[in-house]
Amino acid sequence: MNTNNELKCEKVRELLPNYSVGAATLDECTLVEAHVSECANCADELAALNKTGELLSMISLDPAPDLWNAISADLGPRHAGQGVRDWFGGHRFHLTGMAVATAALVMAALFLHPKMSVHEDAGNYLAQHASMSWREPFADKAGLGLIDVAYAAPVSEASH
Amino acid sequence: MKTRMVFGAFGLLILAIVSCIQAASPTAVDIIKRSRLAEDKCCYTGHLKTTAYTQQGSVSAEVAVYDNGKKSRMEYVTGPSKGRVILDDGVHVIRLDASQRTAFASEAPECPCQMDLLLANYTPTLQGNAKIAGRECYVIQLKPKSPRDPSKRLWLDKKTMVALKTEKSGANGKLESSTVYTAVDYAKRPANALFAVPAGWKTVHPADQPNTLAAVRKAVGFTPIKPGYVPHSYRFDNYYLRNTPECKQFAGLRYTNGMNTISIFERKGPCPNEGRGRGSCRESCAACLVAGNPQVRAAQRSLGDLAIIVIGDLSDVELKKIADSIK
Repeated sequence: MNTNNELKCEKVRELLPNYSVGAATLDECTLVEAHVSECANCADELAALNKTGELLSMISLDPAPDLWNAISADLGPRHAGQGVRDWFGGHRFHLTGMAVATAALVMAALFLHPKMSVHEDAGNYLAQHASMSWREPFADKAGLGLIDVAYAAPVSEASH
Repeated sequence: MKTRMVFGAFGLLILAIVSCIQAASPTAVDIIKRSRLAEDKCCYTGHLKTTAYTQQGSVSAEVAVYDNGKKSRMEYVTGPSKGRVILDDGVHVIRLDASQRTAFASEAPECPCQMDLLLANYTPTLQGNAKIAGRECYVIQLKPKSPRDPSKRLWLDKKTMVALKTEKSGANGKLESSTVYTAVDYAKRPANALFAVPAGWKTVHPADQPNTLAAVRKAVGFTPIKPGYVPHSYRFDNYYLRNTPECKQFAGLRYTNGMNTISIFERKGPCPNEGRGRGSCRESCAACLVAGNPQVRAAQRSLGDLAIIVIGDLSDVELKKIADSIK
């Protein structure tokens, strides 16, 4: 009897991480919810995982405010461009030519693919339009969830 | 005298039979009203395939659906949107972004007059019966009274009234989108955890404010402007406050004809692609943002320091006319 319970606990504990972030399947959710309602140990384990998730979300990923000053101070004594020359094995390198080439590439990217930045904005406006349309009678909600992707995704299927 | 009595009785019998037949076969209006009421009551899990037809072809996705009558969850399991999860908590539509562990919520407005508007602008017709995912369905056509509006066909489960198949066609008659259930199970109640934002995730949503002109004006820092023109079948619903993923607020104005929405977004700043190479718009241009997706075209316009974006399932000419009428 105890062995059976331990086996069930073992199985449920494997599912708990996915369950706590909402990534478990329907069957897994049913299994976990049924088990934790009866097993105090697994319920504690789930509560601890949920707490960990909450704490992780509170951790700031912003860099320390003096990080850049420290790096700048470290780089300061070196001559400008020295690092680049080191990178190319100490050979003389035409920085001006490289800057012009980089600028040309950036300009080409902006003008030849002007919709790159538009996609991001359009995706948001389309998602907002989808939510504004969501409660229309007989709204095709699955289709509404696809409208920004249908716009942005490459079209590969045959024409209807 | 005897003959008259016989004819009278025969007439009554015919009337009774006709009444019985009418009671047994509901009208298309009855069916769509019953289906609308059933939306909040039905509990099911299912699997569907949705397809959006573009000018060049189509984009499809398979979706797992969980619905408990009050809340729903859709998981996109194939296609370009694979991994996307959308929750509906009855008030908000919430998109779960696993990469940022963030839930982006937007209010999903509901106009109480929508069913009346739908019946004023569309003619429902019962076209027959069909089987979808093993279930007997009514096939209903919703034909627009205005030639500028899109149409819809619905396959409604005869027992539960759930829409098991939906097809939307543009004003030109071309199929724009199709969604069909491949499996549905009304016996399986989805677990409550499926409808919750995962623990520890951040939720981004607009501040709780009333949807009034004064509240939206205060939040965005300017007075949202209504268009001087919208097609006659559309009615103004309300002003809404919307958020970008970076939490910048902008105004949303919603118009509806009961089945189709026109969204007008207004925010401070340039048009999304103003001055960026080809296709930039200084004044106004139709379909700048969305050219390849017939079910959502967009027009945009700059007005002083405001960017105005109009989105809806209308012709480019109509969208441009709406955008140009905002002054």
